[in-house]
Amino acid sequence: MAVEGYRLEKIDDYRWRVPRIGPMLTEGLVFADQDLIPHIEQDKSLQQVANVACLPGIQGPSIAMPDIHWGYGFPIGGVAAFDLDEGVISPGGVGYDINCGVRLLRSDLTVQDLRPQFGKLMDTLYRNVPSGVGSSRSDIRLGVKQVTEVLLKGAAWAVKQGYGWPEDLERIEAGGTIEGADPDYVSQRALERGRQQVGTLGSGNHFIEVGYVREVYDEVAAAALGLEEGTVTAFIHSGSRGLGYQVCDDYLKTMLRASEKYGIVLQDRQLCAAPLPSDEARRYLGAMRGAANYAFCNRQMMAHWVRETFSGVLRQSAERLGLRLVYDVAHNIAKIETHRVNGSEKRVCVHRKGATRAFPPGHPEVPEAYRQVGQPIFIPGDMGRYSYVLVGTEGAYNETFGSTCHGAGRMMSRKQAKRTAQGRAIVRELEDRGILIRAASRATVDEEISEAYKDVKNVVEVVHHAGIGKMVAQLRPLGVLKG
Amino acid sequence: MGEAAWRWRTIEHTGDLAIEVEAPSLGQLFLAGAHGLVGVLLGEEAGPEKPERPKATVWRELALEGPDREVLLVDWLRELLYIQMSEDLLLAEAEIGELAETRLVARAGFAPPPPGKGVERELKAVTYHDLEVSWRGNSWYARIVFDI
Repeated sequence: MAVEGYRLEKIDDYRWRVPRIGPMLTEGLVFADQDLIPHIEQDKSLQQVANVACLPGIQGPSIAMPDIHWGYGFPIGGVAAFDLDEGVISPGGVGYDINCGVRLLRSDLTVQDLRPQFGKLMDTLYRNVPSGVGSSRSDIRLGVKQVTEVLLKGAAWAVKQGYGWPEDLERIEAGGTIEGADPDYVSQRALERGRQQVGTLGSGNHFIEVGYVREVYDEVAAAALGLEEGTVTAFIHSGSRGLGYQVCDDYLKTMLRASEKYGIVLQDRQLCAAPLPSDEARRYLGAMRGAANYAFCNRQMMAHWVRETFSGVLRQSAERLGLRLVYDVAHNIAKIETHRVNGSEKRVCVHRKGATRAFPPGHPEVPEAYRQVGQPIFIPGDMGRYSYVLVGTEGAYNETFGSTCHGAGRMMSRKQAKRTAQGRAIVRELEDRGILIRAASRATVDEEISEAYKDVKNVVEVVHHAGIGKMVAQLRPLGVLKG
Repeated sequence: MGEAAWRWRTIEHTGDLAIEVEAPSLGQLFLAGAHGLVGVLLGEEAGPEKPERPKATVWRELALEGPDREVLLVDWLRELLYIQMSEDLLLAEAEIGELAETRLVARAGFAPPPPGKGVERELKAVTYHDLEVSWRGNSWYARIVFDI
């Protein structure tokens, strides 16, 4: 049974506590300001924070970011770390779309350079990057052996095949290859699904957004990241597609049995878990890391097609256009990392579900080029407003297991969003505001209207003021490719 | 039982998409859940309005076991979703052969999406979250949350 009777207490302007009650083993810590709290209290997400706090071996609080919303099992925007001996791993703490994440490309192009060709660019992008339900590129279908290599090598496999540049790998979380992937623990069903969908965007909230740097807040960090006001950028938001969903599905069944076997009391079946030292956990970690690598490869291939598209339409090489990768970071993942727990360094398993890693300046896992400023973080907003680039902070490392928010966070159900969009021509409305939309489905566009999301500015300001992320720049959309 | 004996509809869920299903028997509840899954994939919000689906062209025998009927319902829908995602076939009709607390045997007939009405929505999965299967005095009720 889910935790009932939980409360919310204000700690300061940006922090709230869910005090420990009943089966909770620790308290909940919610990052939000007074204005966001009513949105958060509208659904069951705080109960989910409390439910996560009941899982064995949890270290520190059960954490929620300001973009928290009602998910399944863990809330979306949830972070929880577990002791490697006494704690658990839960596929519900990662989600179906394993290593859903965002990568950002920057360029030397100005908005003016792009304007005359922009419609053509968006049309070409729509043709070159498969998007929408069950999308695949007819010219790419991997053999099982190749999928296995993708699971082991991630983005490095893609670069070896000619998708992108070797230096891209230095600017991807974990270098684009998470160690410890084990394809033997990935089912045939998952492998089969993976064969058809590599290099595809998918549907729902996944997108490619061509935009520009509207405003810079931190000149030093922006310069390190290669972001200059008025220059063109491209976001890619996607994950591990059907392969990842299948891995999660397969292991939820395994973990449901494991929870019973190891006597783990569940507040929600979707939180089913296995002790980290168990065979079930070892197999899930091997499969999940493989799916995470598949997602890195997926985004690497799409980035290559984005470069090809720009290059083809503007008749200049991607190198000449300065279309360099800024960074690629996951926001649905579980990783074994070293953090400070109760004053000392400790290896823990950090679950980030709808939360972004936010490592501080000086951290060895931050690429050399960004070591002085901190790890880049991308917080996309909705398709009509703006997105933000931040960098990781010491505050995040100390307080949130090196994590921060991941997006605006929905505040309308899809049904409600469709009702709001009824009778309106959303694509036309956005076009009137200078934002071109190319989408495989009108339904997706209606469900993804701006009003369905919180204002990402409010979310980002909370993490900035709370010190778990530092604002670097605001990006504005010019064109969005939706699934 | 007539065509209108069971029904399903989508319900509000901020992050994902959920349906409620009602039916006079547990077997029909499983069928209604399956039709709800197909309806959601086709972008519908409730059913059956005019459930004109193509006739089944491919038949499969499905035998599933689970710890209880809630997990069994999720597993049943997962099988149907997997077949949709891997073969682009939608459930058209089904016969429930055996349905006990922990076991389901069914003969399921599939067809490609109706002409001019392709799958509109990608469902990532059928979840255990907020799952309910219960008898409510005069009918069976289920609530199922999909990840989208």
